Amino acid sequence: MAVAISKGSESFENQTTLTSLICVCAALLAGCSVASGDDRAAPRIAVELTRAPQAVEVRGLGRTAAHRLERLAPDDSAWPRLVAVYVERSAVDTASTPPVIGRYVASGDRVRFEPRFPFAAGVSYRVEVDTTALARGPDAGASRAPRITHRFAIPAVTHERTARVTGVYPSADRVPSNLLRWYVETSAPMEPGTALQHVHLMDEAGREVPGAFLALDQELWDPERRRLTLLFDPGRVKRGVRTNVESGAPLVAGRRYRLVIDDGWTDGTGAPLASAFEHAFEAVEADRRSPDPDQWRLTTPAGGTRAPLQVSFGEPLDHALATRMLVVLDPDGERVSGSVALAEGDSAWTFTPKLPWLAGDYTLRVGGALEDLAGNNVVRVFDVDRRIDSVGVDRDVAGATRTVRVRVR
Amino acid sequence: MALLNRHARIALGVAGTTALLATKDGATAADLSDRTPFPANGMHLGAVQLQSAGVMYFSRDGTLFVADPRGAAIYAIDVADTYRDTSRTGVQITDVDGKIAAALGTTRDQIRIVDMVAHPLSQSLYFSLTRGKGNDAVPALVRVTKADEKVTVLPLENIRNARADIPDAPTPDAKTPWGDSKRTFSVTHLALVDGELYIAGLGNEEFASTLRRMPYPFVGKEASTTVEMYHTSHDRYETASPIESFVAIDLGGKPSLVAGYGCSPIVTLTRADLAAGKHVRGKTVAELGGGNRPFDMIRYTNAKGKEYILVGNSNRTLTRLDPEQLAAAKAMTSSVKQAWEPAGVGYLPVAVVGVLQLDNYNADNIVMLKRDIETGSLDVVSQTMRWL
Repeated sequence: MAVAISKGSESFENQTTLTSLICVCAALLAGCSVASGDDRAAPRIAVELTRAPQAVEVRGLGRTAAHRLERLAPDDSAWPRLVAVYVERSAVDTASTPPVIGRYVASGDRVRFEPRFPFAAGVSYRVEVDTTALARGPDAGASRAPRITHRFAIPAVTHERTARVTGVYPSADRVPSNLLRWYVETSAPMEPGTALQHVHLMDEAGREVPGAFLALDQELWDPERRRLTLLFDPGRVKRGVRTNVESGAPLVAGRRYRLVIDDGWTDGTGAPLASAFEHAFEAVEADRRSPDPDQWRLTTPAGGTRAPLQVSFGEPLDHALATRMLVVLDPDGERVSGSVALAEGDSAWTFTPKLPWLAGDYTLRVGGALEDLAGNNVVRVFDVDRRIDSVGVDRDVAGATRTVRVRVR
Repeated sequence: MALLNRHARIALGVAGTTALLATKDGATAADLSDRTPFPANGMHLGAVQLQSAGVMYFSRDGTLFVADPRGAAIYAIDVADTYRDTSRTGVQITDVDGKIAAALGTTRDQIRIVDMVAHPLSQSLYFSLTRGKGNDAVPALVRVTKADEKVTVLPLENIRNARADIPDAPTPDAKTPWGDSKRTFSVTHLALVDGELYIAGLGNEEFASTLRRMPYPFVGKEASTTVEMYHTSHDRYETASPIESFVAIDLGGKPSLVAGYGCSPIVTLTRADLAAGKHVRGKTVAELGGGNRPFDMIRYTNAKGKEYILVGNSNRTLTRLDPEQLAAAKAMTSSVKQAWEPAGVGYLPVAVVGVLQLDNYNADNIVMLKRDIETGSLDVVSQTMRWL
């Protein structure tokens, strides 16, 4: 076969493009000779897409070429002059571009080009073969066949729209006006880098609140790219910081808002969301107090049971941190195994032990970095007013802990 | 990204011009007296398995430091770039993302450049980027040469490197007591300062300003420290906020850091205060104006021997700060009267816009990755320091 273009059928949804390309290739090579050792015949080009690594192979370069190929070092500059693969650019894009980077391997009178990265879906390529690159001395420029050009394309793949926003946290319908962050959870890994184009904070009149969220070079995703952390611009939340003075806080207590995620946001396959998402809420008075474990209400289980330990915070706490920052220690100080759940809009935490409770004094250990919805952590408030606040001002947060006694009878 | 302490190298370049020019004409690079050819640095030949390509930094000897935030690691890489260019000419590479994309066999929209740094000895540009999108995205490190714009992919599968965990950063396989962790750490800025790597960044959960420090050559986890940093606003409100960019510099004779924060203040800190477990409070001495992020910072010494700091901004022109003024400044105590008004230590707005990355380049130039606001093209351009 003179031209081989093949790929798993699942990738070939764009059959029109593929068919036309195969026709182009076939027509181009229809007259080619297959006599590989014949110096007078034109070389043939084969594109291999199914095997790894993919390759473009030029066959039938002739005996003379074969001798010269043997002497070329792997990084010889003659390789890309002999065989080069280019990304085809649009007609208006006339700037010259370098050839695709890859590895060249010669075998007899064949040259095989393996691209450094797989050929990309939706991209058209042009192969240029110029056997004069091998000619030297008086032969140069007069050798064999003229330049051969061959084109192929990898069809674009379109995926079904299946990804959805499964929830946002805080999920409560009332949040402090100095709310620091949202977590947006999705059913599938998302494409990073464009979130702020698709997440909108809308006010009561249906107008978008501009610049509400902090733009970052690198969006804050979890390892699976299924949870995005979206920070309100801290400059607009913090007291006395200039953006707050100029633009005002993005949320005003007493007003209603909608967090809208439009369906143009693309998932990891490139498909847009199956549907848009909307979450309505009301902003209430700003929260400028640290969560205080001494004020939490505990429902202590009875010894000998696996009944859950329930902790009511009295306010919603940060969804991610509340899941992670509380642990239960047994009377010997060892961590108790079990499972954790958040309830009541993240204002309650329950812990169900693997083994029944024993009578004695357990400890609930609270990490200093546990935050409420406004970013106030257990040790210090989000923005300390040094003329008023004194608690925790000179303490670091990461190593600090608070403890609450849990007496099991 | 900032290259610190490079003024010393530039000064040497001026003093030894003849020898350095000879280097470009064919003498060996060993003639460069300031070049340490990779001492006992713990490097070995092997694979760099980047899970993500993050911010970068070049040390004076051409060691490339790359953050892999997803892998919670920093790599020091010997990029084996032996070309030596001591010329003082600028660089211009138009449509650089289009050219890189073509060489990587794809289209411009499938390339996302994360950072650009200049090799201090070859003047080649190095890019950390992802090729492809979403589930198909692959991290890569790419070199583009100054003279012929040749694009090369660094052979990460087999390259001399040393790896270290980012101190206290969540690892990819981290667990909470109850299951898989969703924590990640994003690195915003990286620099080698007096034998220590300083790593600034932010997490996707708790809101904190932490500066991680680890000795280089890497010696082990136990030597690393994490410092919590706070800064004041109007000398009244004290707050934590992630650092976008920083430079190490002497202020009033004291080794210091000048840091730019996400909500636009410029803050100074004395490096002697950066002890682990100590509450470190920076002084806000300038605000560049609202609605802006000071996302890149370098220091340089101009032809008259005067040292300055340059700041690349998301929503301002290139901005020049005078370290002498920063050193002498008192903490800001008052607010501004109107939107976008700068406050505190003044700055020179340099008439360059669209800067996305910023680095030192050669004896006469700095280099930028810049979006041309008329053509939309993403270009590498230099700016002579003659007017800076």
